[in-house]
Amino acid sequence: MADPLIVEIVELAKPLWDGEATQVIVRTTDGDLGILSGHVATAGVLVPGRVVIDPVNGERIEGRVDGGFVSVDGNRVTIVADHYEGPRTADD
Amino acid sequence: MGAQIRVYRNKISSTESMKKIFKAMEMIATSRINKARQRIHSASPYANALTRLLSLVVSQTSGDHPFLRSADDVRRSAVVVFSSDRGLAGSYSANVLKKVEGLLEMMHNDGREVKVYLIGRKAKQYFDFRGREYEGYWEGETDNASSDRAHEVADVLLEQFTTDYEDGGIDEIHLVYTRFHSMVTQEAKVLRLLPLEVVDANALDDRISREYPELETNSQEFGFEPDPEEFLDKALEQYIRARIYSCVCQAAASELASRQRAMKAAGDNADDQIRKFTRLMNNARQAEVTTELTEIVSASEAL
Repeated sequence: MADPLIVEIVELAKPLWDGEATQVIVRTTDGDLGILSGHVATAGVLVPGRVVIDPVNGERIEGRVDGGFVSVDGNRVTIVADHYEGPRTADD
Repeated sequence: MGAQIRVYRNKISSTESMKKIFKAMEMIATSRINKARQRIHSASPYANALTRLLSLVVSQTSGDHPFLRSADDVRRSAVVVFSSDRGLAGSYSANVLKKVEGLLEMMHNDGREVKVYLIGRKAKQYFDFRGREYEGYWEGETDNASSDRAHEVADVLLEQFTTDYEDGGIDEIHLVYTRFHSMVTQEAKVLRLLPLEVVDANALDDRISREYPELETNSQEFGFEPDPEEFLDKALEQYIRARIYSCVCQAAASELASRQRAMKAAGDNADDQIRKFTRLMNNARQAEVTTELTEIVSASEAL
């Protein structure tokens, strides 16, 4: 299996979710963007919509963002969210 | 009872009640400072991620963007002052205001117009007392950083910055805040927020790889969705919000640290004062007893 994606969701005041995943789907201004391991380096503007993450271990995660950015660089996926609702790994 | 003793007793009791206030404020500051430091800490992943994104974009576009382009001659600047609502924080507000004075003087000498935005009652009092004008003012919760406050400030500034000079817009934004280095060191600083000083993409890359070695980028071509210009628009706005939020957090932590230190010193001084007044009071009482004794002895001798 290809190397897993290293995913991180951060919001202005705090980091919200991080972990390894096989697939990430976000909605950019150009439409849904599915990210698998080995994706070309990309930076995109997010529009309000869902964020779907398939973690390496465990159930699929679905959340929502009100906007923000996504960057893919190597296998590192960073979602800089304006406002994120959904499962978290970081404490409040 | 002698009048002098009563005076000392009053002084001691008022010092004691002040000491209680100092102690309470010190304890409140101590308990809140950790939360404030936590805020600074948890805001940094976001700022790091954005800084890194920005560097990528800037390194791959012409960088010709109003937020990056420095106006050749700045005609109107905005200065945002981060001070405190309440006193009893040592020289916290005074240090910031001193920096502001220096900056304003420099700007006046350059013949620029200045719009001042104040945060905190202390700054407002300072400006009101001197009859100076200011453009905007926020108060309350200066020692409790909130992202709402940062957004309010950022909204106003961004709107002003995107307005043309002819319509009353500004060319440049400076923030004057207190940087929180540690519990014992805080430093009043001037930060130029816009236009960004990191125009040189290589310099930015260098700085990032120095400060965040784990973020080393592989400099392959990036794809943008939708296009670099629009991306830059959004990213810069968010970056500015993040910078302002970080200043709000730093200022809050610095205020609490200054207050804690000032209150500790005040409490210690109160102790010294109480000890001094107690001695003086005992002295006065002893003197009174001696006088009375002498009077009795000389009276009985006279009989």
